[in-house]
Amino acid sequence: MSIRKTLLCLAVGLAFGAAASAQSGTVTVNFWTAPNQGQFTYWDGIVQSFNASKVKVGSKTIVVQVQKMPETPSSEAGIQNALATKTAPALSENINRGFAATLAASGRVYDIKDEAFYKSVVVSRKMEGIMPGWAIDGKQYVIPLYANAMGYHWNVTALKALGFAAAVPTTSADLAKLVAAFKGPQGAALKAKGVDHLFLRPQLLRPENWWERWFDFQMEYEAFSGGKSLVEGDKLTMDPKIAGEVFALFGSIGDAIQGEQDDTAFERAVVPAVVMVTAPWDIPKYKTAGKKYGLSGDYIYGPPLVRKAGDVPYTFADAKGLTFYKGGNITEEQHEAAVAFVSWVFAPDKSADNDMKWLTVTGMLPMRGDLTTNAAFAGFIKENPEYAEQAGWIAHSVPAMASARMTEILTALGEKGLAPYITAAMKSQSPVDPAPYVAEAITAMKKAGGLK
Amino acid sequence: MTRNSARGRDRTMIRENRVGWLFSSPYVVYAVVFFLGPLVWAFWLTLTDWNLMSESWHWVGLANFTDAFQSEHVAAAFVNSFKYLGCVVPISLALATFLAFVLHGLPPKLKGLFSVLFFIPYLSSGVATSVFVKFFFSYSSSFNAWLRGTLHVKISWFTDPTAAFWIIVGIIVWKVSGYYALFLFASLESIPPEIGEAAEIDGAQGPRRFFRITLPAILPTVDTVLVLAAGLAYSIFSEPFLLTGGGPHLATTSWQLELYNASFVSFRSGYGAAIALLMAANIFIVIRAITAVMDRVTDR
Repeated sequence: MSIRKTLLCLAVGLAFGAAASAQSGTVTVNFWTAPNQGQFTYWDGIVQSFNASKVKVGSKTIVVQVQKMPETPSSEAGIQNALATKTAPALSENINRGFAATLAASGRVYDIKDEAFYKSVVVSRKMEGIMPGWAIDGKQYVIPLYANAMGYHWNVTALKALGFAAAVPTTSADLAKLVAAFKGPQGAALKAKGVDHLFLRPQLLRPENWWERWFDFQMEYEAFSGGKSLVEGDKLTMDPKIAGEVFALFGSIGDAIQGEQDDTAFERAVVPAVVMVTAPWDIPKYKTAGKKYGLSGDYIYGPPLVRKAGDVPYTFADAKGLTFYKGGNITEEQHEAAVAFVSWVFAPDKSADNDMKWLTVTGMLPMRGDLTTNAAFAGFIKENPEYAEQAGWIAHSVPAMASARMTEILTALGEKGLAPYITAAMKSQSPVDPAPYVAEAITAMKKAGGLK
Repeated sequence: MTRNSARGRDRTMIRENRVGWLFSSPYVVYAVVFFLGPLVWAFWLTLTDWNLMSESWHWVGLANFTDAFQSEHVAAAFVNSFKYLGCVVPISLALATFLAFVLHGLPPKLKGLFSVLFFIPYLSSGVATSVFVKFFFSYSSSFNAWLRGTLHVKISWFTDPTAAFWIIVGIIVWKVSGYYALFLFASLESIPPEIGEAAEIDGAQGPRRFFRITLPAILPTVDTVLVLAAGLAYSIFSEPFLLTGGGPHLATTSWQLELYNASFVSFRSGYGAAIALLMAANIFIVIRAITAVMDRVTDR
């Protein structure tokens, strides 16, 4: 065959191929999961079931293609790169409220607040009380999938030795008693057994790790303030008095804070600290190390400390969810298909079962308002009591601030406020006044975040 | 020369230039696509507030540069770059010279083996090394337990600015000294043995022989190693990123870490590009100064 004829046949073939593809009757939705195997495994199973169901949007069958999002240098940077190079998926999970604010300010995510499917998902997962905390300038950009509510991880043996045999400390007054006991003869006896410090929290001295402020400062700020925000729009709403109380709470522990990195402390036979901050993601690690939970075991979870008994222990929730991208390479048809997929996953007859699968596969509590009342989860929680406490905290958990300058704001809080205060408190034998440090932090946070 | 022969010579030159450009074109294209083009684009980015995600952006003039000059973090990176330079370069050069002489003095059968052994740290992953160092210096490590238990010494390795800085310097010196030693070893091996014999006959031994005979002979290689080490001091990223986050109190931050934080953590890509250009200018001035000094020393 001559070259001209070959090229002609090739061109005709390509033309037919393109036409056939356009008329194939499918719309492909790219869906990115978090860059970890557990979440990918869960979604892969869901997607296979969905694709087998041949759900349609218009006349076209939806085909969801799932992959893990890139995590180098970070998952957020991976999304940034995808949006910049027009290779973004129509849908991804693993988005927290702070990054959602950045995406919303860039105009690259859909506001779903008034969408029928969104309202249906909120109802089916009983999230009516949860979603107001996720609003960004009155709009909604994320369907939260899970929440890791922050709390304290207590060394039961040490706790009992310090006089807390019946229950974990829950108030700042309880902490004061604990500190006094640790610095007295009971503490000396513990130190002789290798329990060197009361509170394992080197992150208090690491302001460059801005996300750690979620897990210490913001956790206690929510507990002390009743779930109030740090930032609203362009205004710093952090209450200086409450911030000072939080500083003082940590500072009261003084040199009994373990300021050195010790990642395996709670996996050892002799745990060298009485308490640390933690979330459900640590549970599998300690269970693998053979630890048992409960007052008759090795460890027990406790809520954030509140000002006085009876206060609701609001806490920070490391929570992420699904968001729908727009613009660039993403077509309206793909967005509708992504919406149809999410609607299917969280349909009233499926949402509890799918969330139960999520919990089983990932070990993370789904963001639902009925975790402690829905029969679908009762069996799991009964067999895993360490999740029971945290399940009750989900309803009082507060997500990250909705600010595109969140990282700078929290870095400033740590650099100019918390870390210098804790350094001073650890060196001092008497209480250090937190007010000047809080004032410095507020000035720095306003400057870093362009806040009023 | 006649007009015809001059024209003929011109045509030959033009033909030879075309051939030269043809053979150079792959690298020229590569340089334009991967260096010059991105450099021009980066400069444009510094003049905008684009975060690479938004579908719109605005001109901000030199505001990103102004912010960088006023930033405590960028100032710390600038100062730390000279601290790293002042520590990494002389220590790694001294250690490399020592290792080169060790290699030079080994029997021929062992030179190859030890060359590979000295090169291995350079090949090691920065991530793996940092993870090991993190555990080595953690509170409950055997090393720290021994320090506290036996020597009654308690060092806050990663919360003390001085200790954290020297840990990072130590990792980098360990990583590159063997690699630089191979450069110097090759240079030592290339010195004709007759020069050494003549030096012995003249009574030049020990330090005198090193400074009067050996060092001048390997000076061009020392110049190369100096420039490499200086460039390295400006490319420090993995170790502070993984071990200290740039702290404590910005003691270990670097240009590259601040550039990373600006671009991929804060998503201020224009500001990050401004930091990158300032870093490039800093590197250029320093390397130029080093080469100017070394040119004078070499000429002498």
